Amino acid sequence: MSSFKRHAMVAATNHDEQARQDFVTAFRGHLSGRVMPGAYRVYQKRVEPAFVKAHARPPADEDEVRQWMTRDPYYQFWSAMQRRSQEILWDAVIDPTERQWASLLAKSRKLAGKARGSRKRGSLHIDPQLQVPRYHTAADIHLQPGGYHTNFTADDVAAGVIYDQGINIYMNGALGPENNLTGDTLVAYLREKHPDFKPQRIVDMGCAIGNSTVVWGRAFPKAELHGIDVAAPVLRYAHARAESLGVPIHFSQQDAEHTNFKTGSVDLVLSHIMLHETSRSALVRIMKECHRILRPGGLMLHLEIPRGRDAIEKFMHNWESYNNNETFARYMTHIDLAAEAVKGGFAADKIRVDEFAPKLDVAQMNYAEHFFWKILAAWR
Amino acid sequence: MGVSKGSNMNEMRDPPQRPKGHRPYYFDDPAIDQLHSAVLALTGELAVALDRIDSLERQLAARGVVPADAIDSYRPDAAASQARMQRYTALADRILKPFRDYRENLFERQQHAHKE
Repeated sequence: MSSFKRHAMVAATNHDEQARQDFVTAFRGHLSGRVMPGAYRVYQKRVEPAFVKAHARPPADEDEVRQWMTRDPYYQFWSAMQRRSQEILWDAVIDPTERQWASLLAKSRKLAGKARGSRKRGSLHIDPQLQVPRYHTAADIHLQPGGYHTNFTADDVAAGVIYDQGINIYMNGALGPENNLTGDTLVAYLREKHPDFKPQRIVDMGCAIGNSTVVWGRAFPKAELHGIDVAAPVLRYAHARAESLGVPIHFSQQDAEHTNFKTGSVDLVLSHIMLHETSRSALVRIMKECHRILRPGGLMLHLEIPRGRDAIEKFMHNWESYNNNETFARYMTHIDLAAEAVKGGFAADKIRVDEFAPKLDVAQMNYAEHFFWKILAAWR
Repeated sequence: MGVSKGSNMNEMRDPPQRPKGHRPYYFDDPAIDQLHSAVLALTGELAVALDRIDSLERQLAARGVVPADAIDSYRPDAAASQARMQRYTALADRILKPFRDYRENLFERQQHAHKE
C-alpha cells in the first residue's frame, strides 16, 4: 500500500477511487517487476539471435533494436499494458480531483492568502504574459491530459493535484511519501561531494509542484529558496502545498532559458529530471542562463534520468519517448551533458558528470533492472 | 459532478478525455490493442468490485452481523443452486450475444443467397 503523505492539498479518495489507485499502483509494480524484465530475456533469447542471423552482427544501436523489438509479440503485449496502465493511472487520479475541485481551489486560495500576510512565508508570482515553450504544449507530457500548463478555471491548481498523486503511483511509491526521492538524491550528492558548501540563495528550475524544492528548503532552512516553472497551475499548487507543509519557498512563473534573476546573484542552481523535457536548443540556453545567474564560485546541479548502457537498455529507456510523450528524451541518449555545459560557458575542468544508483526495487524501475541517476555538476 | 463547460474562466471546464499527442498502437490490428486496453480497464473495475466485497465482509464481521467464516463455509441449498445455474446461463447468453448475432447473420445471408 502506498506511503503517500496526505497533506492538505491532496484530493481525498472514496472507497472505489482508492481501490482504482491501489490497483493501478500494484499493476504497474507487477509490470515493472515481473513483465518488463521478460522483454530483456526475449531480446537475448530470440530477437538479438534473429538479428545476428540476418546481419551477421549484433544491432549497432537502439534504433536497430527498435526495428526488431517492436515486431516481437512479447514486447507488443508489455507495451500495450504499460501504455494502458499510464492512461488508467491518470483516470484514477483525475476522478477524485474533479469531485473535490472547488474545495481544493478554495483551500489553495486560503493557503496563498495566509502566506501573503506573512514575511516569514513563501510567495507566488504568476506571469500571464509568459509564453509556454512549444516543447511543453506540442504534446501532453507523460500523457497527463492538459499537461502541466492548462488552466481549466481561474487560479486553477488541478494539474498540480493530479501530478502530485500521479507521479507517486507512476514509480510504485518509489518517490517517497512527499515525492522526495529526486530532491533527496541531489541533496545527498551535494552533502557527499561538497559538505562545506552552504548556499544562501538557491534556484530550482522546472520545479513543477515543488516536491524537490521542499526537500532543499528542509535541508537548507536559512537559504532564500526559489522555484521556477513555465506552467501556472502546477506553481499555484506548489505554493499551496509548500505552505501546507510549512516550508517557505518563492515560486515564480519563469522560463529557465531566460529568468529575471540578476547576473551573479545565485549560489546554487538546480533542476530535477527537467532537462530531458526541453529541447536541443533550449538545453544550451538553459546552461547559459545557469552560468549567467550564478556568482563566481556558485554551483550548478542537474539530476537526469538514466539512458542505458547498451543498445537494448537504451532502447528500453527510450520507451517513454515514443509511448509516453517524452518527445525530446530519446535525443538525450547521445547528448554529452558536459559538452552542453561548456557551450553554456562553464570551464571544462569545472564540470563533472556522475552516476548515482538509488536503492530501488525492480518493481519501481519501469524500464530497466539497473538504474543510475545521472548528475551534471559544474562550478561557476 | 457540478463541473460546467464554458470558456469563461470563472467556470470550470472539463479536463480533456485524452492527452494531446500521437497514440501508438503495438499490434498489426488496432482491434487487438483495443481489446488489451478494454481487458485492463475491466480488470481494474473487477479489482474495485472485489475490494468492495472485501470491505463489506469485513464490516459485517466487525459488527457481528455475518461471522468471518460464514461466507467461506456457506454452501447454497438446492433452490439457491438452481437460481445460480439460471444466472450463469443468462450471463453466458448476454456475453456471447455478439458471436450469436454474427453466426445468425451469416446463416441468414446464406439462406438468402440460396433462395436467389
